[in-house]
Amino acid sequence: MSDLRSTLERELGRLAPPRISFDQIVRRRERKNRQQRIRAMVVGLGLAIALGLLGLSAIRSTPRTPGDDATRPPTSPVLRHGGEVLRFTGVPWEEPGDVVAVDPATGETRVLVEDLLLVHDARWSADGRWVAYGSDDGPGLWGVGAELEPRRLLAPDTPGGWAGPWTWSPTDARIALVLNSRLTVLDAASGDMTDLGRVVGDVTSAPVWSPDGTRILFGARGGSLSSVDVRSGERSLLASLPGWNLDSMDRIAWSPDGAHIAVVNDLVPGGGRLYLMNADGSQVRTVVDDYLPGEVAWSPDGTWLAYTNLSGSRIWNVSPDGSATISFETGAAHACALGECVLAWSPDGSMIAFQADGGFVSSAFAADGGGETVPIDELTFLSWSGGSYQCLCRE
Amino acid sequence: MEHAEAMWQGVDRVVAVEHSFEDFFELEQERLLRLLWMVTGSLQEAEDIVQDAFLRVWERWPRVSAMESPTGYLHHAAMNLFRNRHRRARLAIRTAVGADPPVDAFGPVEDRISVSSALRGLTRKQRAALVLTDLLGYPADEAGRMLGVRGSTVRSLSSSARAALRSARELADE
Repeated sequence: MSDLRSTLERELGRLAPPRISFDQIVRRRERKNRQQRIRAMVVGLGLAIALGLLGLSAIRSTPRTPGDDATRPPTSPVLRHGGEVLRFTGVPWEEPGDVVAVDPATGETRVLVEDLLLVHDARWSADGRWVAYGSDDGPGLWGVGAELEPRRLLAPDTPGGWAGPWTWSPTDARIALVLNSRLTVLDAASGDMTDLGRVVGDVTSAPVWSPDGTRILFGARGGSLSSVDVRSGERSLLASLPGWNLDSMDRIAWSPDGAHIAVVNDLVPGGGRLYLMNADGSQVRTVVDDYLPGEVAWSPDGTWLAYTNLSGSRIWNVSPDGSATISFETGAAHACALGECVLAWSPDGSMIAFQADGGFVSSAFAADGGGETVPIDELTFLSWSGGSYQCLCRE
Repeated sequence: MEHAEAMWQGVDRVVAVEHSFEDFFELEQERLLRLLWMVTGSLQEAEDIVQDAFLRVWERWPRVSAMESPTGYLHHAAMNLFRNRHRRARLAIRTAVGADPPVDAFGPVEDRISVSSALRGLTRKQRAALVLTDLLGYPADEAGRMLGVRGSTVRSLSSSARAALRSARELADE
């Protein structure tokens, strides 16, 4: 047992709370059931009154135009239709729900996976034929294809459920993950797994694919950034980040044009440092030091890197060579710590929006700092950010 | 007769499932209460969260009992409740006074030369990250899911919490 853990266990042992009896849980359940019955009665009464007043006779489902289904081949191997985005209809930890695909233009919904208690994240494969999702219902990593029959791709590796980060290839239906300290590529279609060897160091980042799908990067505590050729398995140290007090490597973001790499590295005892480099690991430079990291995101053409501060109140855009920096206020004040918010560019690269821990920010901001803002709804935002679902687990 | 037997077998199964939840409760409740008390700093809040967490588990017990780790689910449920209460409190304060809430604390820290004092000086989220990773041994990504944040945020929270505890222990040793 580690020294710190022993200390914490000792402190825990000093606490002497009064015992909670099982009867207290029973009474709490009875009270909750009573409240739910009362709420149901009130809602039912209200509905009856409303229906009576409006004179409605039936509740109809959305009418379907004849021929709608005919436009979509019933046996198409492609799961994703157009730019559909993924949502989870349940309330995490409270109500089960479904993983659904939603058309951002019409709001029309298709159920992909039914009745899950909690979905951590759900993402489309690059070819649109698969959705992979992490769930605690039968913990592990699951996949579903056009046949809509979920199957477990990966059993849990750790007690309590699947915990490792994973990323889809940008070109096909392969998934990169670190499994038992080994970099592994999993083919969602065939289930085949390719072992790319033991990772180096205490890996703290999610594995990141190059835009052409030929290389995978991972970062370890202390600032070492390693590169693995997916075809040959050959690995190399891409870069050792400069600077002192480096802790975990939290985020690696490869520009869509494949030319540059951004890295957010945690520092001891806290805060972060943002680096930029060429894709071959050369020209490593510090963009921001002593940084309270918000999210980072490349523009669609790879010519700008946007990043936020912790509160999401300001966004910076920096060119990869450092020759230009734009900064502007968002007027928002939401928790936007790294991973607690999602930053997304519009497809044409003109606007930036973000979804933060404190709530959905319903404005998109001009990326050139010109001050223009446009309203944005959540479905449009999700389509900008790739159509994936991540449980930010807000109320 | 066969139908009646099947019915009784079904009742037996229900009774068995109910009893196993009670066993689970007796096994887990004391430690969970201590953990939540350490995280929240408030016994009353800890009791509330623990009772609600067990209630959630009980409502889903047939499914939860079949999971790899019902205890893991219980921890998830408890941390989710903790996080939602924490967020409601922050939003309430922000709405009331129009500013970010002060750093969580038990109250005035009088004695910094003790680990328990150092724990009291941490924010609730720091304590939660520390408890989940260093005490319970959850990986940072798993702890992040419980707290509604990424693993990187958990590592950052834990790192700063450890640094604070390290200082307190060094001072205590002097």
